[in-house]
Formats: sequence, C-alpha cells, structure tokens
Amino acid sequence: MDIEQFGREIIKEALASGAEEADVLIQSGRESEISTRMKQVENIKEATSEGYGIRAFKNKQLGFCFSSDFSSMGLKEAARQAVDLSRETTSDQFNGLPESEKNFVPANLDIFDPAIGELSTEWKIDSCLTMERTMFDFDKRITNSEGAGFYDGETTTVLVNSHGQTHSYKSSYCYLVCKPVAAEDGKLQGGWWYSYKRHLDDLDSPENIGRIAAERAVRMLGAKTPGTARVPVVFDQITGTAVLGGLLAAVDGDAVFKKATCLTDKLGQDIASPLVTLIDDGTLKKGLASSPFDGEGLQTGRREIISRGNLKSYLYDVYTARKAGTVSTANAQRDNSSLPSIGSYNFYMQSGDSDFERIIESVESGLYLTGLMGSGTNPVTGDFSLGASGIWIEKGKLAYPVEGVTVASNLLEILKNIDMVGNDLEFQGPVSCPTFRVAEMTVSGTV
Amino acid sequence: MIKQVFSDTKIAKTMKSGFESFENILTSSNIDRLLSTALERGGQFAEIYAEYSVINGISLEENKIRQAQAGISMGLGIRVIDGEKTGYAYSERFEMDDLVKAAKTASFIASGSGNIRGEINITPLAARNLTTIEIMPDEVAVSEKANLLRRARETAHNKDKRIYQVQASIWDGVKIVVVANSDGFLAGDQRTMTRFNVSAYAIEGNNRQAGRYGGGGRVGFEHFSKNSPEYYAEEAVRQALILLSAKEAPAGPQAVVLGNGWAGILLHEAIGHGLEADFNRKGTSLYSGRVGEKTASDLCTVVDDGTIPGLRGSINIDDEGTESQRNVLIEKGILRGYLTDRLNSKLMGSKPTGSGRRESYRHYPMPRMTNTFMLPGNHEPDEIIKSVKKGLYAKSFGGGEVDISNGQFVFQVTEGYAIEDGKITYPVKGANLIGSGPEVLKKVVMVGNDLKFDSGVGTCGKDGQSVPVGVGIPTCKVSEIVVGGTEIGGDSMMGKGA
Repeated sequence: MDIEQFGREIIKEALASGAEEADVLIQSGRESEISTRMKQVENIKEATSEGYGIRAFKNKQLGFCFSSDFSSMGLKEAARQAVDLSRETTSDQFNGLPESEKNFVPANLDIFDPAIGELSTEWKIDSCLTMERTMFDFDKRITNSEGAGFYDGETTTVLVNSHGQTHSYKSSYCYLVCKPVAAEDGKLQGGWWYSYKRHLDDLDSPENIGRIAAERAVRMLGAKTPGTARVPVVFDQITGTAVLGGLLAAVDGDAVFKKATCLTDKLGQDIASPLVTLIDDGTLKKGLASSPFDGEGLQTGRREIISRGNLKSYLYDVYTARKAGTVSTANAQRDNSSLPSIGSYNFYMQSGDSDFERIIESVESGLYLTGLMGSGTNPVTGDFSLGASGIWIEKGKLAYPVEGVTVASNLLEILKNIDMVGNDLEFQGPVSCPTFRVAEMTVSGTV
Repeated sequence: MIKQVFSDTKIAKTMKSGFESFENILTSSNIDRLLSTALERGGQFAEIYAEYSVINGISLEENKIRQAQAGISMGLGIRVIDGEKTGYAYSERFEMDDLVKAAKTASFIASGSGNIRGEINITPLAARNLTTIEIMPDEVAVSEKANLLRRARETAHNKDKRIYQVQASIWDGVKIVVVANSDGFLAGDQRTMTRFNVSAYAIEGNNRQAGRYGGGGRVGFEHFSKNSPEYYAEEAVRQALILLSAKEAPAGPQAVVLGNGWAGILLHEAIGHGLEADFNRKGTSLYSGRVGEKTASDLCTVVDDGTIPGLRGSINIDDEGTESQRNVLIEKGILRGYLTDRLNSKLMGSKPTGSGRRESYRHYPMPRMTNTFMLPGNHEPDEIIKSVKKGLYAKSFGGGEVDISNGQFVFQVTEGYAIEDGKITYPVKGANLIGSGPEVLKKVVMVGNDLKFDSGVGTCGKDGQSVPVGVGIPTCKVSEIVVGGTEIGGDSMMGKGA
C-alpha cells in the first residue's frame, strides 16, 4: 500500500463529506521483542501494525476518528465519522490547521538505522544471554533474574493535510534491558539497567549493561530507613528526569493558559538557579524524541525553556497558541490514535561543570537518590513528593543503601535550590539530565 | 460457531461489523488451521485471541464542547507456549494469509519436531453475562452526552465562586473478545465500559488547587441516573476547596486511618502485585513460597473477585477464556493463594484463577488483579477515628506503585486530614504513605464495617500493559505507617485545637 496516496485519498473523502479542513496522521511499523530468563529464551514477539487518525474541521468545529481499517470502505467510514462528530462540538475561532508552511525544509535527523531491521533472532538472543551471564558473574548474591530483553522497531510516519502538504519520515529504535534480583539474609533487591538508542552502533554493550544492572541491585542489599531530616539530595541521571517531567507538565501552554500550573505568569522571571538551562529540541541528531515535523505538520526546532534560571518559553500547539495570542512552538504530539496534544521532544538539562565525585564529596550528610516511586508531582501547585531509595552520603562518601523514605519539596524550590550540576549528561531517553544537587529537601523516614 | 458463543448476548450496535468479521474468519476449519500451524514446530499449547473494540470520547473545556472522537481497533494474536517459553505474533488484518503468517511466527518459539495431533475439535462455550447493561453507551446520542458535561460544568461554577476553570469528559467503549485454543474450546465476552471525569480548579489569593473526581465501570448510561454529573462535579469542587485550606502534612511514622473505598489501592499495591503468580514462580516476589504463612494481622481477609456486576475490574472470562472467580488471597492473616494464568498454573501445578489478562491483542496475557478488596470487620468508622491520639486520616489517594522484590510501596494522599485526640482537625496536602506490604498489613489493628468500592476509575500498569481494575476497603486503622511530607516535627506547626 502507498501510505501517502492513502493519506491524500482520505483527505479528499473528508472534504467531499463536508469538511473545510482536514489532516491525517498515518503510522505503519514493525516491532519485535525477545527476552531471556535464567539463561533460557522466555518470550519472542513479532508484529507489524498500522493505523491512522483523521481530524476534520467544519465551521471551526473539530471531529476526530481513528482506525486501522485501510480498505476503501474503512477509509470512507472514518472520514465521514470525523466530519459527523465535528457537528457535535462547539464552533471555536481558534480551531483549524496551521497556516500553510511555505519554507518547510525537512531536516536530516539521522533517526533511522536500517541495520536494526536486519538483525538476526540469534544475535538478539545472544545479546540477552550475555547480559544475564555478565550479571550473574558479577556477584554471587545475584541469585535470580527478572530477565534480559532486546526490543526494537521501525515506524514510517506520514502526515497529509488539506493544504496539499505531505510530510513523512522513518524512525527506528533498539533497546536492551537487564533486570537482576539480588538476595541476602532472605531479603530481595531488584535492579535494572538499559541502553536505548536510534542506531544499533550507539547501543551500549550487553556486558556493560549486565554489569551496571548487577551493581545497582547489589548495592541496595541491606538497605536501611534513615531518620527524617532536611538534607542535600543528589539526583542521578534517572531520578533527575522526574523533576524535568514535573516541569514539563508545568510549561504546557494549555495548562498555563488555564492558569492551572505553578508557572502561570512567570515568563521572563528567574524561576531556577542560574546553573539551570533546560532545552527542548526536536532536531537533536539521533535523538530518541526527534521528529522533523510535529503532529500538525509544523517544522520542529530547538528551544531554550529555561536559560540560566530564566523562564524563556512555554510549549504550544496551534490551538492553544492562537488562544493565548502567540504562535505554535510546534509542540503538538500525536500518534495514529490520538488528537494532537502539547508535549516535548528531547527535553534535557544542559551539562554543568561539576565532576560526579566532587558533587558527592560536597555532601556532609545527605541522600544520593537512585530510585523514585509513585506519581507525586502536582503541576498546579508544584508540590513534589515521591517514594525514594538510594545511597546515604556520609562525610562526602557513599556510605550505605537506604529505602522506605520519601523526598518532598516544591518544584520551584527544587529549581532554585539546585547548587551543583554535573558534567555527565547522556541521552538515554526522551528526557535527560546530568547528575545535580539540590541544597536541601525533606527526606522522611523513621522518626 | 461465534453465533453459538454469543447466542444469549445482545450484540451492541457498534460491534456488528466486527462480529461479522469474526464469523467469517473464525470458522471451525480456520481455527483448526491456525492452531495446527502454530503447533507445527512443537509446543504444548496454542491460542487465538481476537478483539474488536470501539471507543467514543467527548470533552468539555469551560463553555465549549472541545472535541468529539471515535476509534476502532481490531486485531488477532496467536500465542504458542512451549514449557516456560512464549511465542507471540499478531495481525490487524483479518485475512487468512496474514493470520497464517502470524501463526508461523509464533510457532518459532518451539524447537522440536511438530506435534502429531488430529484435528482440534473446538467446542463453543456460551458467553456468560454477569452484568446487564440497560442503556448501551453506543446508542446514546453524542448531544445527550454533551449535555451531561454541560450540567457538570454549571454545577461546579454554581457551587462556589472560587472555581475558575472546569473540564469534563465522557469515555465509553464496547469490545468483543474471542478466545480459541488447542485444549479445544472457543469462548467469548462482550465488555462495556463507561467513564465520567470532572476537573475543577479553585483559586484564593495566589493559592490554586485542582480537584478531580470521576467514576463509572462496566455499566451503561443507566449509571448516570444514580451517579449524576452534578454528583461528580460537586465532589471535584469539594476536593479543590479542601485543598485551598490544607496545611503541609506532618512527616514521619504515625497512626493512619484509611478511608473506605479508593484506599483499597493499598491492598492492590502492598499485596496484590506480590501475589501475582509470575513473580512467585520465578521467586522474585517477597511472597514466593509462603502460602500458608501468616502475612497479615488476623483482621485481614483480602479477596480478588472478577465476578461483581458493574465494577470496573470485572470480566465474564479472562483473556485466556477462563471464567472469572472469587479468589481469597489472605484469610484472617494467612496467605492462601496466588493469582494465576494458564502458563503459570501449569508450571506451578495449580488451577488458573481467571486472572490471565492483557491490554489488547498486541500483548500476551499475564496474571493480573480484577477487583481487590478487604472484607469488612465490626468497628464503626467513628470509633476508629476516636481511637487515634495523633495521626493521619487518609481519605482519598492518587497513584501508587510497588517494588515486588522488596515489597516497598508508595502512594499519594490526595485528600487527608490530621487526627488529634480522636478528632479530625484540619486538611493536609502533599502527603505520601510509604512502607513495605507485609509490615503494614501486620499493623492493621481495626477494620470498619463499611466496605466500599472505588468509584470506577482504576487502571493498573504492569510491564507496559494497562488493564482496568477495581479496589475496595472498609475504614481501617494501621498502627504506624511512614508519612512523607515537607513538615518535620508536626507538633511545632499544629495550632492548638479548641
């Protein structure tokens, strides 16, 4: 099937059914999953899938329909239903496609690697077995396994709209993960580590992933619950993304317009420590969240959200930008079964100049935070409260593992109190950050 | 064959075309061909899972019906089990060529000589219908749904001037699933789901707070005659206003009274996940090998029951075709059993418990909860509050999470109050409860007589798969849980109560 041709046909059908404007996002792809456990193959899964979602505007009203039926009857039905549903909604002057973009230059983002699709099943199984073997060899207290896995996929994304524009790109990903279980004195501690990339050559070696995963599980054995205190907290590259995630919800232009975030009316203000620069980049080469165009067909770009502590920008899609009297930042995220909604691309904190060791040494007594649990950021108030585990720092040294605590503060306080930023930023997912230190947070444990 | 399965079921309007595709493709000879292909390289068990699903959604933002949407998804997954190994493939096209290809892909997991079997004789089982839906959501006009949303908005604004923003949405869906396997049966289920959500934002000075409430379940639109949009809106407003006056939660270990209903999420996180058979077979759960042991206080009897009409976690059959049932997990403190699916029950020598669930045809099933709750005790809720000198009354919760290996769980209190000298004194915000499952359940010292289920909004995630679940609990007192918050030494910030 020619996907672009299908896209043009369904748009034609929507216009024939009475839509004044319409766009469709189509995705077609393949996914595969292989996992081993206790040195044996456990699961193999493979599939191809495709689907589309069509948006129809009539009298500035919005209807939407998604389907995976690519037959000519399915196409007609979906187009007609999107138009029919639009009649049920309120006419809204801000609804509609973006202006036709004349200067669209598709960027080469290097997010597709054909080598991934050519990998043999044997090679994938071997990578998983190597991760598990390395993890078991690392320490005899690794006694069990939740398995090791290799996941990969490829997707073609096409967007066609009634301005006569057709955009498309191909992307791929590969993901290795290893999940050891360590045991001592009848107590279990799970751990995990992974590597997630667009290109096969950029994946970390199975040996490294297995070793790091084992280290992370073993170092939690014998974890204690410390007393309640206000102390410095060092976020690692994983736990720090929870702060960035909370912030993302707070810079969502839709929530900002509704005055439903703690960053409402804060544009241009210093809301974070001058050490903090946050970037949203849809054009990062090989970026896991890079994409040449957004869910409404606008060209993506790179944008500073916080520059040396100063709030520079919110994120907008076309509708919200019109409502707020500004322009879209091309942050409409969309897949084949959803309407566009505001979201980020590669969202990250820029590296600072502190070595990891210096950050740990700087803490007299505090927490090196390596695990977070729960869903504890409230974008309306900025309240931040999550279950936590990690390593207690005593006199500048990693001393002993802790669990059963919560860390609590407010997003804005955390941002202001970041007083050291590491030089160790790595892109291992859509949201990334270096190690950073927050001068003081409440860590609650026993008494 | 499909007709026989659903002979007593009224097929929903939006399911008609999916039902026809099933009838055409899932004939006795096609099923036999797919299962035989799946087993041609060996393996003990093969299964076909077909699904056709339609969802509808409509949302309101302030005075606008912002959007209306509909979506169809369909697919067929084929699974082969060989010992502990699973092969899985799916297709979204209901054409025999594509399906045979999927069966071949799934078959590669097995490595042996093909099974020599005769034709698989498939017996159709009549579908069970535990819940009666009176008004199918797909027969309700979109404009009528929009009116429910407008009523919610009006109510919220009329309730209090401090409400400055209201959003509401209705989602409903119908899904038909069909399961056929090499043990020789064909089973099916038509599942309906309805859900209503309201968010209300309140402001006072610079203090902004959001209140959210919603509900539904395996119900049709008759649900709204008892649970009106006004009711949902008032509850969202009430929560937002309470938060406006809430103080920071005092941190540290303290007595906690769990409110009845949604606080059952504690059971879900603290023990439910730990009793899922996959973790226990692999020995990665702290409950592994502990059936018959005392794991909770005598007052605790915890049940997972997928058969309760109307609840969000209820299913007639699970996604492997096993009928749902009532499973006692903990009886008077003693661990009685695990929640299991076909793969794990076979490997562990037990019987499936109707707990093999999956998000969609894109996934293979695993042991999951349905509706998890604690049976009532004999204390009046008032007595329980009165017994606490100083502590937290945790009435409503946000999300929770558990680490299966060490049992550590956390969940967020969205509506909580300080208890001082047996009285509820002031609302608190920003509190989290954290602890280990078995430790907390051993500290359950009072159980109320007021068991209630949640309003029908729970979704449980595991290994990237989401399934709808229900939870329930009576008012309960736990002698001590660590409360995370921002205020240390609660005494210094508490006003002297009258």
